[in-house]
Amino acid sequence: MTDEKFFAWLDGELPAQEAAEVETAVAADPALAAKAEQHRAFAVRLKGAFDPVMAQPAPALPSAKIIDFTAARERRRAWLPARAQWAALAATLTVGLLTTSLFFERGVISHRDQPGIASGALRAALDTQLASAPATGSPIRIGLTFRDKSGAMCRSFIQPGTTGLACHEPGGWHVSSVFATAGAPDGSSDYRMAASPDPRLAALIDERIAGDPLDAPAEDRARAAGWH
Amino acid sequence: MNLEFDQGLASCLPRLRRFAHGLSRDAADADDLTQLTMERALRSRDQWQVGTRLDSWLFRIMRNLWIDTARARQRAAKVEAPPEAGLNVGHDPRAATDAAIDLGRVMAAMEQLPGEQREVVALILIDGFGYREVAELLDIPIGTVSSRLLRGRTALMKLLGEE
Repeated sequence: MTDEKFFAWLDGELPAQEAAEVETAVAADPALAAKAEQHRAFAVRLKGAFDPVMAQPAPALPSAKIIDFTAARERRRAWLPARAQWAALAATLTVGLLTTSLFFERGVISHRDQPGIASGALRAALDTQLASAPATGSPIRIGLTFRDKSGAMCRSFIQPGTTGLACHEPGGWHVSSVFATAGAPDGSSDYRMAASPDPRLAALIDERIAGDPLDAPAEDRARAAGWH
Repeated sequence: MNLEFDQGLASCLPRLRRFAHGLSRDAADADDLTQLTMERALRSRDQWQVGTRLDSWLFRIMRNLWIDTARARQRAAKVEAPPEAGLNVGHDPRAATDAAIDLGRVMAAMEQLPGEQREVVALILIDGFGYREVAELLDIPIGTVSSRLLRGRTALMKLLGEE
């Protein structure tokens, strides 16, 4: 018996009849039986060595990773009948709250076919904080505030572990993109973005921005106007 | 299709990370490779054909990215100082026990294998793909899969002191 055939049998790759023949031959040969046992045990332990990788949650990847919901959402909207849209909006809000809290509480890096509506601390920061006057004690900093080409008010934000972009829509702050950042910045450092430390976020802003970002007085006025 | 793609991608992620660890020299490289693969997959999502296996498509992307990276590294190695002598993968006195082998040792040993053996070992012994699936994934004859696997698993066992 060739080694190839022996291992094909061991790996369950032989057709039933051939497998039965090898089985018989192995059973009759103590050396082959021992070899089979040794390789079986080795395969189990080899695979077992990788179990910790499988058990880990997705890591905070070392450089930025984009999670872009917008394209998927636009495609879905395109085929939804108009009457179904209110239901979709309601569903979106629910799932959005869930996925947003997952992203921001656990730093989960995954791709979802759902838009995220900012909730909790992020929503509060987007609603109330000014880039020119960071709130003390808040882990979230606002970067740039600007109007995008569709006319919506958008704000970039950064918090330990993630940075992203949210735009104001009727349903709330729609988080269109989230990037994982390398290492969480410590609370004492000033990681407010003058422009943006993340090249992908910067590129995204460049792509969306209409005109210049708001200066401090304009940002204050936009807040007073409810970000419309 | 998009939902199917996204869910498939998410559910394959742990396996892809494991494959990356099987191919890479350390965990940081493995996570870089995983990230590159996810990015490439998201960008190329339109090229995946509904009805075909998403996992094979994703594994193929990862494998090709790994080859590209390895080639670039080889080019760089020619102009840089040679790396330190290969990792010393010694005999494991616990070889006869049932304990799983330490991941770091396995990765160091895998790295000693030629790439063509390493990928086949990772796909079949670690991930559980069938020979035919791997032949299609790598676009090589099934007999080649079988002989590379034989050489790879035998060498790996020796490297890990299990022979």
